[in-house]
Amino acid sequence: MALLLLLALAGCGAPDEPEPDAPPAPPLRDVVAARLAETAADALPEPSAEEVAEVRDLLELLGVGGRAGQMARRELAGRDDRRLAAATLAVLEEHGTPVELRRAAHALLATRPLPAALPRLTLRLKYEKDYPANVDLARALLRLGSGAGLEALRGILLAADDAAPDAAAARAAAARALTELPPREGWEPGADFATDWQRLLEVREHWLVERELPGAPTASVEDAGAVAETWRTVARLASGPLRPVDDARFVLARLPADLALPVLLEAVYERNLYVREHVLQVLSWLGPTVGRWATRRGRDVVAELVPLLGEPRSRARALEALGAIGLPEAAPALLRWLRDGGRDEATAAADALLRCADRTAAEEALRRAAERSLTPAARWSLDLLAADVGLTRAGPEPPTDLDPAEVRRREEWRAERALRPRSD
Amino acid sequence: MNAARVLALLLSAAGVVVLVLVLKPPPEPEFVELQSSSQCLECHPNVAAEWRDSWHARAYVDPEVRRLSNDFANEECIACHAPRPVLHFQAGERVLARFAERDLGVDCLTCHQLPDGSVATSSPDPPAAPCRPRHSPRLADVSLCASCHDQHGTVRQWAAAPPELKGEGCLDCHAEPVPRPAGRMGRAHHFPGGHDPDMLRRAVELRAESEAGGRVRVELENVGAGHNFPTDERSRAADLQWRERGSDGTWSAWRHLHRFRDPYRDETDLTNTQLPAGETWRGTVTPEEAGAEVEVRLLYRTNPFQPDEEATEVHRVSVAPGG
Ligand code: HEC
Ligand code: HEC
Ligand code: HEC
Ligand code: HEC
Ligand code: HEC
Repeated sequence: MALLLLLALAGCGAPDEPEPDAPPAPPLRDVVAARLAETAADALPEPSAEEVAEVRDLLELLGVGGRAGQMARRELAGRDDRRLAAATLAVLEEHGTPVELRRAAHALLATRPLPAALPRLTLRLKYEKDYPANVDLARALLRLGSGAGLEALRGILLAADDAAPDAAAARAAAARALTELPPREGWEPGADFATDWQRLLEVREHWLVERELPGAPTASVEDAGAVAETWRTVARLASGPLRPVDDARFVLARLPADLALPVLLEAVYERNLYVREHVLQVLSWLGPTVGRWATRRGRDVVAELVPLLGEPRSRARALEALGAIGLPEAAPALLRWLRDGGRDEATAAADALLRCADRTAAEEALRRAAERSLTPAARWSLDLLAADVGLTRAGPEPPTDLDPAEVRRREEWRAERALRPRSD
Repeated sequence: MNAARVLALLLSAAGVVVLVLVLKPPPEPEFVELQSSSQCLECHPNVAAEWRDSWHARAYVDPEVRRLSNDFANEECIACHAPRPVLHFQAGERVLARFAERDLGVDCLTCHQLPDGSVATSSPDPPAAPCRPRHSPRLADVSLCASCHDQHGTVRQWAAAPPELKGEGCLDCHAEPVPRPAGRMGRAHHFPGGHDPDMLRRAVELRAESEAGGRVRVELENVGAGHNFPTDERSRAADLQWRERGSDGTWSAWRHLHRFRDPYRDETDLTNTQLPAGETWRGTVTPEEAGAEVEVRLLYRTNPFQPDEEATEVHRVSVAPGG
């Protein structure tokens, strides 16, 4: 037994074992520029101002109804899917487009869902406040394999805010939309609201943890247009002004895993610091979802990310991502920076260990921590880790010199350990 | 011994002293590895006291920021409120969030640490010191502040300001010269701004004068801010209000005259009404009772919904009855 423990300890590196000093610089490349060029033909076309104005007029006519409405419907039906989606998105993205037009545009996109529209449609979730428009937005996303709109459906069905325009009609539409959820044996869509609601909660839970819809994978993840538009979203991370960066992070954290993760794991080697930084940040936000996806798809995501620790300007973010993903095999790389890193790196390493380490790595972390001075934040992370793996009996007391928000952030990470890919 | 010889002797003695000083290397202080701003605070107590009193020190613990960032669950807010050292980035690049000691906000390392671990000073001939001061022209340059303060255009506004207001840069108005113990001059690290009533008072001048037709002409001139008034944070608003005294001696309620503000980005129906450096806003009020005494005041709000009682009264002027 003792021998086993010794072997296990040796396996993750004794403290005095010599480790190479400077890790080699990772092979950074102009990944984004190359991918943008390669996928140019698959991206959505840039519509002309006239084209947008035309689509705008046609959408307006739809609302008029009668003859004119019919004509508009026929005209729209005859248009090329990609050009129409691009122009419709442009109408939606324009500042000050009136709510009737936004509803018509979302209804149109829900009936003709185009995979290439998925990233830009996902961004609408951040800005669209109108209930009926959100119902059609959620339906379009669902048909494209994304559950990102389920939160909006749930919100509308729960909302007591009848002051919102057409709240009752939107609730009815949202209830109908539930019948379009992915099927499950034993669930009869539309038979009664209570079971439809139950199905919504199930699918939403699954989406939140896995970033996929239960059942068969959807076409959009293989679609060249969707991939091209995902690369265009990544490109925005390099922006100087913050708004496009915030938007891109919002979208990338809400795309189906099979679409976003292969792109993100490649973009992490982009030469531009800001792209690397924010791609790593999105991977951290997705956290255990990344680890679970990698396990499902048989990808060694830890090995893919570890070389980035050789890049000093991205090191702390890479440590964070490695921890957030929640796979214990990241621990040896993290332990090294807990010992050798500056304060930022050592703190990031301790935080990361809290999120992924198993008992063996936790023991080693405590040993290394005893050999150097650490920030209160790092100490708190290691205290929580020690408690979680059962190395200490009593619940730890937060250090008095640590800000309460930083205390809570780490308590949440401890709670998230339950979602780690191999914790169940 | 004549005077000339005495002088020569003295000079050569001084020369020897100077030579000795030049030849004898100054005792090299032992360098310390700087990992935390708390180390600077111990050795630089004067600067530390000023900084602790500044909004830079509060950037991560400021309750207003906490509220709006959802306790920094909104991680994009960490980038400027608890950043990595600015000088680790190129001038003009965005700063990024750090991981340790966030509660120190915009701290000493944020503005001073150079990529090699030494500290930046603006003196061309830095003293030998444990923190290894090195000359860096970027420290006292506007571009240092621009890394965080140009999101809403403060630095661009400054660049467009008239030369007499612009001065050398931000430090002219935001960091007064102060004597330091070593007998050198330093710069105060309080960085006062919109929270400081004195700064607000020197930013603008309020004038009111009666005109023909019983009207009162009101003017507000940006005489002392090297950028728009108010600037930077979009929440800031400055309101002109007026009231009149009726013949029965009672004052009317305050009435709104004009708001100076850069609206939030979703307030698309509003335009930017900040007052640029050197410019004057002009308006008139007409009291209901001809010739009544009129008072005009300027209120400064740290957020647009702040009630009058909590706002800072910057200026108040009155126009005498019938005057
Ligand atoms: C162990 C004590 C010590 C520590 C720690 C320390 N300093 Fe210093 N520092 C000094 C001394 C002594 C001087 C030279 C005398 C003076 O200028 O005050 C100096 C000088 C400076 C100067 C140059 C002033 C000039 O005249 O050009 C700057 C800038 C500076 N320190 C900033 C910092 C910052 C920022 C930190 C923390 C990152 C720091 N120091 C940490 C002792 C220290
Ligand atoms: C690009 C850098 C930057 C980012 C990112 C940033 N801030 Fe700030 N923030 C500043 C600067 C600079 C000031 C000081 C300007 C001023 O006070 O006018 C400031 C001031 C503030 C204030 C006013 C504080 C007070 O005491 O009244 C609030 C509130 C605030 N920020 C909230 C936020 C929130 C919330 C976020 C995230 C959504 C955020 N900031 C992101 C740079 C930034
Ligand atoms: C917002 C940026 C900023 C922060 C934060 C800041 N400094 Fe400075 N500091 C400056 C600038 C700019 C100068 C150069 C002023 C000049 O020479 O014109 C300076 C000058 C100095 C000097 C030399 C002049 C003097 O006033 O003595 C010292 C020493 C110093 N800083 C120490 C510190 C310490 C210690 C801290 C943390 C408590 C700190 N600084 C925080 C911007 C900053
Ligand atoms: C690393 C980012 C950063 C840098 C660099 C920086 N600031 Fe700030 N500054 C902030 C933030 C953030 C706040 C707001 C803190 C708060 O109120 O929560 C602030 C607040 C201020 C204020 C407002 C104080 C008030 O009363 O509200 C002034 C004035 C100011 N800074 C001036 C400067 C000047 C001048 C420079 C350049 C020497 C500078 N800052 C450099 C981030 C920075
Ligand atoms: C001519 C003097 C002057 C110069 C130069 C100047 N400022 Fe100011 N600044 C002021 C005054 C006065 C105020 C207070 C009134 C206001 O908020 O506009 C102020 C306010 C501020 C505030 C606080 C805004 C808030 O919301 O609390 C910030 C931040 C600021 N200045 C940054 C800068 C920066 C950055 C520069 C250099 C690009 C600069 N200032 C140059 C005089 C000046």
